[in-house]
Amino acid sequence: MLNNLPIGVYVAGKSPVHRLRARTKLITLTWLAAVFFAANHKQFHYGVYVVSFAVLALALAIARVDIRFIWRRMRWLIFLLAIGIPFSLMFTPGVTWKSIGPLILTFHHVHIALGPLRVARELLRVTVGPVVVTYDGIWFVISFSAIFLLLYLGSMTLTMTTTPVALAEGMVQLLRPLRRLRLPVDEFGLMVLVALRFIPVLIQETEQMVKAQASRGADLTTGSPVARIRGVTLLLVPLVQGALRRAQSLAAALESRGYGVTGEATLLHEGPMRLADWSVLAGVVALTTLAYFFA
Amino acid sequence: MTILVENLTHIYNKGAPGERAALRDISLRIEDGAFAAIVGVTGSGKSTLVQHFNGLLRPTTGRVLMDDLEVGSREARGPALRALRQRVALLFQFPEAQLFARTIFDDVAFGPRQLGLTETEVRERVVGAIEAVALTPDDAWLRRSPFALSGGQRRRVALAGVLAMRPRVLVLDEPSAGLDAEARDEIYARLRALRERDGLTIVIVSHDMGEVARMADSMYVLASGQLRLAGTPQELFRQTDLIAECGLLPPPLAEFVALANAHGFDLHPESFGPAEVAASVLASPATRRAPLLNGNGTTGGAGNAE
Repeated sequence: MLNNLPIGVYVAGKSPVHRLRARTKLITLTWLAAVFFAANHKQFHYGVYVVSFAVLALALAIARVDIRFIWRRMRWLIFLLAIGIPFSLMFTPGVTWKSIGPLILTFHHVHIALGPLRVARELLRVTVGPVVVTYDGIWFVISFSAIFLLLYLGSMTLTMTTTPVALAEGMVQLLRPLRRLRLPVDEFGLMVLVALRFIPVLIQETEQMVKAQASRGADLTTGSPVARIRGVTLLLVPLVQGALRRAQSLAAALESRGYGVTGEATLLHEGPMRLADWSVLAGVVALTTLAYFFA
Repeated sequence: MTILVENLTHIYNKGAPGERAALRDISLRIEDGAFAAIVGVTGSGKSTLVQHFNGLLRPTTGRVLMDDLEVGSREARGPALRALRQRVALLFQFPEAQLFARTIFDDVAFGPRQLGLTETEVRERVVGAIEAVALTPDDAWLRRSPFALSGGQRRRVALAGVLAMRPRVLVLDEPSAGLDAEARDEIYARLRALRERDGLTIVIVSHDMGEVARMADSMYVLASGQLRLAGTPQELFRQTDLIAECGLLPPPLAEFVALANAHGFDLHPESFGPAEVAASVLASPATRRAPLLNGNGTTGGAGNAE
């Protein structure tokens, strides 16, 4: 049931993409996000998106990620985007591309009775529209769909090819300059690691709890919305309680072993940047910059 | 209710990364009214197997029939599935961690309320279920929080929670794990009483062989997802080496009998409970020859022989 959660989806592998440092992948993703939003202002220039898509597709191909697996995770996002598209098209102001309507519906001999309220008319005209689709609306839909899908694809590439531990360590390294501002960067890293460690445990506990309640006649998949929401709250109580209990005993265990953040911790999984990392970064930056200015 | 499993295979995450076969080609039959034990080391597939019995899992291939209802089939959906779950109660490991309501009453009443019973019927069932697990259902106590109880009592409340559904089959995953000796004996006594009173079919998942030897009348040994041995505990525990091959420790008294027989005794206890083994020791010709128990070899000697 919870197998579709996009958390902890690391798929072990030894491809060049897997071997890149987490920092390289994190910076690439951040860079892409920044470039997308810059490119968003250049209407009807697709260069950046095409190049980014090519880069991500290449990365996924090199990492040998199953296309069906990606599709299964993408389809809901696409569905959500599709719901939003008509509204964005209709309600974005700007230069008109096409004006549709107005549509005038004509009804003859209308009799409406709502309790004591009676309306009787020989002729009723209802005006719908006009719906104005603007160039800005079209570009908005295209660019934001592209940005959403590409960033989703990118973060999926990141989490599928990077172990959570390397990811947390990479984040800590990128944040280290903030230490000068006396921000608790290393503590944050430890927190992230511990949190990641518990995700599979919590998923398993949730599954167990859903099953236990299903065995007693509860069913989250049928019934009225109210009943379902009540079902979910019944689920949350023991889960939160269990999580708190677990956190408490973990804190006690860490403390009793004298575990803590003292100075700069060395990192086991995230080593120095290598030639491949620098080349990937340089390549991505060069390609997207070129695409931004010339396409 | 008769449980019939035919060539059951279950694969987790089929077609996704992490695909793993948990059960392979299992066939077994648990008769109506039996007390069956499913045993095996951690990860042998015991819990996966029993989750098919109330339709929490569906067979990947093969069939699971509960009386005539095929689990996972088109007929076993919606209302039929709910009816199945009412008739086949499943209590998970450490069920006390799965209590969730604010009061003991509400927790036990959860199942009956899901059945859509009236509040009078619900109360009747709650009181009955609490009594069945040998707790006293007075009103003040029922209004307490389940979290205020001791571990053993909470587990009994959890058991009451599934009994309130009035099931025909009771499936218990490690019912005694983590309990002290007294609480454990209490749970066993309750299960035995329930079986005698209501004729329940009981299936326990366990790796405590002493428990299995005392309680069960049929036993199924799983190892790495396959059914290795099936039979009565008396038959199977006689073959201590086969049990050990599956990674399990035979009950101490079974080892004792095997050891005694290797030293020329000829013991054939009816089961591996303390009283039966003691009786078989006294009945053995080798014991009668021993001068120590001569003239004193009545039931009074059973305590010493233990």
